[in-house]
Amino acid sequence: MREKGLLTDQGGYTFVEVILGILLLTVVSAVLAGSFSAGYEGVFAAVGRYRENIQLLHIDRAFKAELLRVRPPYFEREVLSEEKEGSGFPGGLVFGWYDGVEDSVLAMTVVGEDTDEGNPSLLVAESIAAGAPGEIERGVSSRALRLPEGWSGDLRYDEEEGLVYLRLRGSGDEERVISSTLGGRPLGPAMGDW
Amino acid sequence: MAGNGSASAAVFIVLVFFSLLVFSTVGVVALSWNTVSDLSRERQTEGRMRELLMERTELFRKDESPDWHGPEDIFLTAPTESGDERTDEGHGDAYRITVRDISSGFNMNWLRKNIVDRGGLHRYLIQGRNADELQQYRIDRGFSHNIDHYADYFDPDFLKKYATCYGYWNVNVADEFSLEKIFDLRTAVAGGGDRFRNSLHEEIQSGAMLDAEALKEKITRAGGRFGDVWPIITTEAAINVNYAPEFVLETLLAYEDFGVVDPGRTMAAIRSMRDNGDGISPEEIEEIIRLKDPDPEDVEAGREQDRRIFEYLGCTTWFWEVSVENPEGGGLRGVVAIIPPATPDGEYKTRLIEIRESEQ
Repeated sequence: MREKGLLTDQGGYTFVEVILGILLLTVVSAVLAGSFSAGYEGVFAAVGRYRENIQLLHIDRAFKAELLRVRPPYFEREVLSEEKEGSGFPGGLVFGWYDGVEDSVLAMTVVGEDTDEGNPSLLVAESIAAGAPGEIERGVSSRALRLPEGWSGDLRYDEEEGLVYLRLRGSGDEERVISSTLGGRPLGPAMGDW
Repeated sequence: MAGNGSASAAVFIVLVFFSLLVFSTVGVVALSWNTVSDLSRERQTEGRMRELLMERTELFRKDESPDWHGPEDIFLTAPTESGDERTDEGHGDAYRITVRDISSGFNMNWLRKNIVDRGGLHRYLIQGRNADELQQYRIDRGFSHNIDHYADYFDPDFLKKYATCYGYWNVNVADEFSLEKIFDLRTAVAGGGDRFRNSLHEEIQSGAMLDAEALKEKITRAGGRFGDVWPIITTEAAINVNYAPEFVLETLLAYEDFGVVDPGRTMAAIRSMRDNGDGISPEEIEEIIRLKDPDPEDVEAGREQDRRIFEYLGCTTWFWEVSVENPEGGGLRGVVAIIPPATPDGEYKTRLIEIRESEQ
């Protein structure tokens, strides 16, 4: 038999017990909610990271595969690699001899801003024998490889090394540099020791 | 009872919901994991193949006899398997590496008409075609590093077995119009190619062979820079006698104007040395390939002995193909160029000039 008093209720629980119970439930709920929220965010962060890595791997693969298709013959003086005004590829690289055909062109550039509308993309365009190398708008087929959210990038061709660099920068300090050779490299001037 | 029933249904729904959530999460994670694994493995495989290709290319730089490529060369005797053990899952990287000469054949970019017409190669021309058309085609359409460029002129089997598009233009034996065109391509000097071609007429008439120094003078006089043209136009023998197909050697040795003594026996001697695995050295080649004594009339007229056979046949391979094959599919193919020195005391250089995924 319980004693009756101010700190008791008629159903058998004291007021203190009820308060403690409520407190306990609040704490447990808060812990559960916090864990759930952290787990939820963690899962999403991990999924985001997965997507980011997959996107970067796809870009790495496509970047190298496309550049390997640029095959200037060894007897050419040089491979075209310049930004063409009005080509629609500012800051990009334009190479002739795509698939070993002189008039075919591969153009690459990083386009777009990191805005709500979308992320920057590595734009890869191929022009199969569609006029002069600079006139790549005609007969062009292009595809955009979207960079992960918060990433940006730029392209550079080092003629000395024969390497094309794609430098990608993440939102933090993260930076990745993908480099690739072209599929061919002419024996240009300065190869001998005259 | 109704209250208990509702609670059970609610618990059931919650359980089903959570089960679906767990299974779909596991599914998505597994799928993502597989995608990442596949991409990573693909990248690793490609990276490893590139590494092996570079390692083999590096061996060309270590070659102690860059002017003599025979069977003992380090880049040929190195193991042809990558030597990496296969893992239990079967995803090892025991890649197969092959190295082969791709420049010791009839070079379609500069082959002279008389070799086609009088050397017997006209038999392999596509019906209705002739050597003049081939010459004109090169002038109109230019050159290529792809043998299919000449598919309208020669039998495909001939092109595959005995022809090549890799090689330097030997100034002493290359077609003069192809020399003009390659000169223009390399120098972009207006009228330079024409001047260069015309300057060669004296040598063509007298039978004199140009050396690197004389070539340099001709290039400079035509308005070009030697550095722009060398090594694409050289004075180096085009074909390695150690690796050229026998048909190519037989055709050149038997070409009457070259004046080789007993082409049949010469070929037999070359075959025997190649079969013995010793290879033919630069010192031996002129002992094996003997030339007839010059015609007294030619000597009197100031003509030099025709030594063009040694402009075709030498002991260096200028372009090598290095293939790395993955037994599980795919591979990489590289082309290594050997660059001759422009001066007698200069050094040979090597350069990887092509890399591509193998067509499977």
